[in-house]
Formats: sequence, C-alpha cells, structure tokens
Amino acid sequence: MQVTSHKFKENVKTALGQPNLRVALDRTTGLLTSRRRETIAAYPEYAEARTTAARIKDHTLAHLDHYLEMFEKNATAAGATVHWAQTPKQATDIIIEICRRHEAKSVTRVKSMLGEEIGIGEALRDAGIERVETDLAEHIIQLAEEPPSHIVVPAMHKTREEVADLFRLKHHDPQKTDDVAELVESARRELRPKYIGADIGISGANFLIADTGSVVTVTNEGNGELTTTLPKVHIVNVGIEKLVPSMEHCAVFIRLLARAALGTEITQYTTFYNGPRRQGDVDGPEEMHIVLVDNRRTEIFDGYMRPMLRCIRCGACMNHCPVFNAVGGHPYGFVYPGPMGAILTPAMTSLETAGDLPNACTLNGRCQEVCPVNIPLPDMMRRLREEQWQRALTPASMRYGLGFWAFAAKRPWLYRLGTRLSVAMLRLLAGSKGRITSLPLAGAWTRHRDMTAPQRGTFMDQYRRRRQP
Amino acid sequence: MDHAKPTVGFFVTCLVDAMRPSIGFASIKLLEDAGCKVAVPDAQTCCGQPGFNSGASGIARDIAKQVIEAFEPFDYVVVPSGSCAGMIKVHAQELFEDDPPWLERQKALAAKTHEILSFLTDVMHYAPSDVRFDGVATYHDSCSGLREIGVHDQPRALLAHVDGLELVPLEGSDACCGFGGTFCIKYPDISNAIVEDKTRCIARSGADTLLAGDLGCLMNMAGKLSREQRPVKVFHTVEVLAGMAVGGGICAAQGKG
Amino acid sequence: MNPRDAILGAIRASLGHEPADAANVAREAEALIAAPARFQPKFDNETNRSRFMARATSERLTATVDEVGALSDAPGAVRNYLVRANLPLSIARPPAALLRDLDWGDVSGHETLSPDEPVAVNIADWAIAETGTLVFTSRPDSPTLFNYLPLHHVILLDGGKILRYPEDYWAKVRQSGAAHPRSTNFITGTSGTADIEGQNIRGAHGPRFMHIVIFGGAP
Repeated sequence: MQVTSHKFKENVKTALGQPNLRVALDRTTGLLTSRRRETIAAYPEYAEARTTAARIKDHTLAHLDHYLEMFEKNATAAGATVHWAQTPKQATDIIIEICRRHEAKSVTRVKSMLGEEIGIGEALRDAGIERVETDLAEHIIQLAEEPPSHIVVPAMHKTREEVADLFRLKHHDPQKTDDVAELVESARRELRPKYIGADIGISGANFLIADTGSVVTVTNEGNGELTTTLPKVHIVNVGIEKLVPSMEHCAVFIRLLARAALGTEITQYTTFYNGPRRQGDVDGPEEMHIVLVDNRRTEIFDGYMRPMLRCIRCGACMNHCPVFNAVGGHPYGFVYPGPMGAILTPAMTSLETAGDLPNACTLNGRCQEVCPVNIPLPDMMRRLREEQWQRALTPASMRYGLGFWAFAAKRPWLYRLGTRLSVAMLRLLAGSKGRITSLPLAGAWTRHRDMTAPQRGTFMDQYRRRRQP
Repeated sequence: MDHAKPTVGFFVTCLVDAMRPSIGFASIKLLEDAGCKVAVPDAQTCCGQPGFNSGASGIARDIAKQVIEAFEPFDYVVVPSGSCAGMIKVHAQELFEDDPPWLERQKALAAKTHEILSFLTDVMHYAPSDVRFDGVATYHDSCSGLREIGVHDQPRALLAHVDGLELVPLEGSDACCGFGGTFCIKYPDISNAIVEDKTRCIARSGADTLLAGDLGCLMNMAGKLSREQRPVKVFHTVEVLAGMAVGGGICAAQGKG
Repeated sequence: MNPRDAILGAIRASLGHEPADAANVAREAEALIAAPARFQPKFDNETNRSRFMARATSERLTATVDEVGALSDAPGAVRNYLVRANLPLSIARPPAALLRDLDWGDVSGHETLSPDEPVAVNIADWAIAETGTLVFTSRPDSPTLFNYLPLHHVILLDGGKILRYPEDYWAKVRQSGAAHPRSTNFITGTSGTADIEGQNIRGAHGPRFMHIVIFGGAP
C-alpha cells in the first residue's frame, strides 16, 4: 500500500478539515469504548487474564523458533503447505504463483491487515485477478477506493449517510434509506454471488496454534467461513508473531480480543482450521497454503520494540487515543494507525518516513492501560524519539532549543535569569489583561488559545525575599 | 516528647516558578500545616522531562543528577505536579540502567518523592480545616498523575473538606487535555481539537470552576476556556485547599500580582 | 539463504541462547495456564444449561430456544419454528444418520444447499455455557456450509452436551486422541457486524436467525 506517513502534518490538516470524519469517529469510538468498559467491568478475572496473556506471548516469543518449527511440522502433517516469506514481495509472489497455477480469475478476501502490509491488493490487480473484499468494511473501502482507517472497523471514517450514497451508486440492488440494517442487507445481496464464483479464498489469521498446526480466525459476519470453505484453495497470509502454544492458551486470548475490540464476550465465529478437506468431506478447500510472513518482525524482535509483537490487533489503543480520535486513521499513512501504528509504521517503513508518528503523542498512557496484553506503548514512543535524537533525525530547531535550555538548566543562576526575563516580557505583553492572545515566537500556542500572564516575580525570587528578614 | 518534623524538599517545577508562584506558596502552607519542615533547595531548575520526552537522554540524565544531589538530603521530596513527580519517581531510573551507583541513588530518591495531593492524604493523613471556597467545581485528572502515580481519590477527598465547594463530575475526567508538553507546540492543531473536546465537557458539567493538579494542563485548558470566552475560573487544587484561590485564576486579569 | 532459514536464523541470533529443550518449554507453557479458574469468568450460581440459555437468548446473540424431552420430539419443535417464522415446510439438512432417522412428518428435507437457502437444520457436537457457543466440526456427514449459508439456522442440541468452558471442550478433544477435523467452528449467535458507525446489526453474510432446540439433559 502507498505509504504517506511522511506527509503526516499535511494529512492531519486535511483530516481536521473534514467535519464528517469527526462525526463518524465520535459515533464509532464512543460506542466501542463504552461497550468495552461495560464488558470489562462484568469480567472480574480480566486483570488475571491480561497478565496471563502477556506472559504467554512473551514465553512464545522467547521460543519463537521452536514454536514456528512445531507449527510448520503439525500444519504440514494436517495436509497444509507452509511457505515462508521475508519480504512483502516474496509473500505476494508466492500467493500470485498459487493463483496462476490454479488459473484463478476471481479471489475472495477476508479482512487481513497483514494482507494490506504485503500489498496483496496491488499484486492481484497487477496479475489481472479480480479481488472481492467480503468484510463489510473492506467492501465499503474497496468501492470507495480508499485505504483502511482502523484495524478492526476499517471503514469507520465514513458516516452511514456516506455509505448509503456509495451503495446507491455502486450496488445492483441498493437499499432505499440510510438505515444501517438496510445497508448491511444491501451488501449481503451484492456479495452473495461472489462467494460462489471465487476460485481462491485468501484470509489472514488471528492466531496460529503450534501444537496442532491450526489457523484460527475470529470474525463476526460469516464472510470468513464462506470465503475459506467454498473455493478450491484457501491461502492464509499471517505474521510470524501470531503463534500461541496450544488451543488452551488461545482460549485466554479469545476472552480478551472481543472484549477489548468491540466490548463483547466473544465474536460470532471463532474457527479453527486444520489443513485442507479430508477424505470424504463434502466441502472445504482441496489445498490449504499458509504463508508465514516476516516483514521486519525479526528486526522488531531484536530490539526494544519486541513487546509490540504481543499485539493481538484489537484496536483498543486507537479507540482510546485522543490523537486518533481527533484525526482518524488516514493521516498515519500506513496500514496501522493510532498508538500501535505509531510504533509499527517506523518499524516497518523507517524512522525517516514516519518520524512524526511517535512524536504526535501526548504520552498520556491510556493506550497501555487499555491494551489487553499490556504493551508499554508510551515507553516505546519515547524510545523511538531517543533513536531519532541519536540518529540526528530530530529537527535542528528542536536540538538547538533543547541544547540551550539544557545549558541553562544545569546552571541555576543562569536559569533564574532567563526565567526572570521571560516572565518580565510576558507580563509586558499581557498588560492588565491577565492573558496574552498573540505570542511572538510561540504562535503555535496562541493560535488557538490564550496564554496566561505570569504573576509578578518568580517563585524562587519571592521565596528568597520572604526568607530574608 | 515531640517527634522531629519530617523534612520536605519542595520541588517547585519550572512552570510554577515562572508562571504561578502562588501554587508554590499554597503548597508550602499546606505542607507546614500538615506538620512538615519545608525547605526549597536553591539548586533546582527542572526535572528534565522536556529533554527525556524528546529523546535527549544525555541532557535528561545530567539534569536528573542535579535533582538527586539537591534533594536526596530530605525525608521527602514533594512536587505540585503529577508529571514532574512521575518523571522523578518513575522515569528517571531508565536513565541510569548502565550506572549502578547513580541508579541506587535515583531509586532512593524515587521512593521518597511524592505528588503533593497524594502526599498530604496518603503519607501525612492531612485534611484542611476552616477553609472556604464558594463555587461549583469540576475536576480534571491529569494523565501522569493518574496513571503513573495513581492520583484520583486523594484530591477529591481533600476538597470534600472545603466549605462552600460543590464538586460536580466531569465527563471524560480521565481523558487527556491535549497539553502533552512539547506536543501542543509541535502539533498545535491536533492539540486544539483535543482541548476543544475538553472545554465542551467542562461547559456541560455546569461548573464555574475547573481544578486539577498540574499547571501545564491547567494553562492549556484555561487558555482555551479564555479564548472561547467561557466563564470558568481555573485554579490548581492546592490554591483552593490553602485558601489562596483569590481573583479570577489562571488567564484572568490580575488585580494584584 | 532461503527465507525459512533466514527467518529462523535471525530469531536464533536475537535469542542468543542454546536451542531450548522441548520438554522444558512445554512445562513452562503448561505452567502459564495452570489453575485456569483465575481467568475463567465465574458463574457459580448458574448451571451449564441455564447459563447457555441465558447467553443464547441474550440481546447480543438473539437466538430463540425450545426445550423438548427427547430427540424424537425435535422435529415437532422445528416444525413449530418454521410455521412461526412463515417459512415453507422444507429444510436443508446434512447427511447425518441422526437427522435422517428422525420422523420429520410433513417437513421435507434435502441434503443439498443453495446459496440462498432459507433454512438449514443441523445437530451440534457440543455447546459451551460460558459464552452461549455451539461447536460444530467438519465431517462427511456434517459439511461446514450448513451452518453459514442459510438465513435461518436451526440447531438440535443434546442438553447433556453443554460444557462449561472452552477448555473443557479442548480437554475432550485431547482425551479422544483423534486427529483434528478440517474445521472446528465455534458459533455464538447470529452473524452480525459493527462496521458502520459501530452499530450492532444482525444478519451480515451468515445466518440472521438462530433457533436452538435443546433435547434431553438435566435442567
């Protein structure tokens, strides 16, 4: 997918100028966050589940090679073919080759953010293969020709009115009103024939079970199973970090994922796939291919960002992020928005490209608080900023500014002098009003809000004076 | 036989020092009323957080050492800010991972550093008496204080002792106000969108007064309330507790300095 | 170097320790989920059946439930459902002996599925009380699509096969020693989506209506 993270500030400007976006955001994250709060409140064992989940992920990562090999062995024994891909191109080459071998004309897809990462959409287009997105949200953004703006509800940037207009334009038998239930009906009608006609179904995976070689998907709509059961071939593209040791370990995550993402105890469909159809099966694919994708995960694994690999893609962090709620997902410019995106985007592209992302953060900590696997997101934001500083990627103005400030801060007498002067200047600007509406050199503050006038005399000066007889 | 009074090194914070010393004086009054012997070490400037949050670890480390040296002689270090207290208590240790002697000293300092409101209740078991503030106030929980230090119930418990003060809930009281230190300067339009949400909630609360425990947040919210011409007075909690919340508060015209 | 070796090599280089002893790793993994009561939602005041029914009929899952004494009573309950739902007395059902052998009366059955199948009847393998979940597995006599294509999904469930937690199901699978089927499907309520403005809508691509006929089993 086209990365636009380097244009973050421009993207933000565009986003802030879209009133519909704000409406859509408020409606969606408002519901998701309040439901999550209720469901977690009704699950007293949540804290224990969360601690256990983080430990399971850390344990699995600490033995990732062992579990990957175990998975490969068991999946192969079940009749699946396991492929390995280091880069997006290797992954899409494998997938397109399978499609070509089967002379596939039409492919149905279940939402997979990893699929976006590797650019499967573009690869299918370039190979002249029809791609039918079957998740409602993916279907919407496919019709609108837009990138996803959220990892769980990718079309959340659109109001229902905008979706209604889109369907009226593009569907064969569209709905009559803007009622959301009717919109869903219209999509159901539109997509039904496509499931039957698909040669190949491509999905991602929420979890990989090492001791059985199973692939697990967690979905709501039913499109997942229709996509993976009807066609002759099922291809799974999945990140290497999705492993868990066993079904019982997976059960801990299943309790957390839907609660964190949507505020429900469990999604409608949790499906455990174990190889292609067996002798005598009436339905199911004849071939199952599992493409294990690295795409910089081994690099992430190797440094301070390793905890990011615990992520189960619930989206809670972005739902609760004030920055995400102000600008939506598109400004982040890549597959993953919000706090997890601010870490993964520099990791999967570069700090040069995505330098704004870890900086556009108030470090308020709500993301980590709601993360079901307790990923230390704010700490990693800071570490990314540290890396920028060490690699001299921080803007010069910032480096000089901090340098001067540090020089003074280490010399109290100089610091006091500087403070006194600043206070005097601010008081002059404020006059008798008590506030400043326009600050030279700090226009960023006064663009949108007033600056309070300082009181007369710094604390240290007044304190010293009061102490002297 | 008298107990010796606990000694408190008061860390005023650079913002309070420059912009609103009354918070410092209110803090000292409360600490002394609570039975502490308060000193203000001269060799203090900043906790180093601006450097730390910008990734300038070397700078932050130098300043953290300065803080250790100035404050380690005291029984307690008390700070009228959750974010500065959080820097000393929680984050500065990361700067000394490779330096065991300094790490020990930082950990020792961290153990005795407190945000003021939680210090007054949890350590000194203090409650103000004979103090009045007439108004309907709503409370914003600053992020660092809330999540790094666990300050939530304490300010409310303290304010319950203030006569004439009615506390009403703030929708999204635990939502960030959009200050975020340098964030509000680097990404002013995003910061504005966030603080607009906050002032909308403040207006809906029906309060005529806004209170919180961090001057950065307070200046940000007061500045927006003022620009929107909303009639809400803004004070730091200690000012109200010490009976020093006079005048219009932050961003208001000042009768006396 | 091929991608597999490169990926495993990179991981090993990062981990920097000797290849772990498989038994030790397994022990460690086991210990992490010991005493699962820590993280299993407690519902001590409910039986498996009562919890299952409460969840299944909840606003979130929207299933309707009938209880009958024995499996032989099930066709009657299914017929009543068809009548109530204004459906023709014709159902799709998988080629399972248990279903074929029932006396369906005037309700005709076919073992093929059309894309716009109005109603399919199936028999669940197990159920899980914690979440109101039904468990199906793929078999020659139980194709997966009977549970996903129709608009109305009618399920016969043996009341004695309602387990408490998913861990109980996996324990049964382990005990049986059987190989895993192609797919194990946990189905919880009717299909739905929250993709538009976060609003919960039922009946996306999977079934919109679910009716469960529980036969036998302790109350």
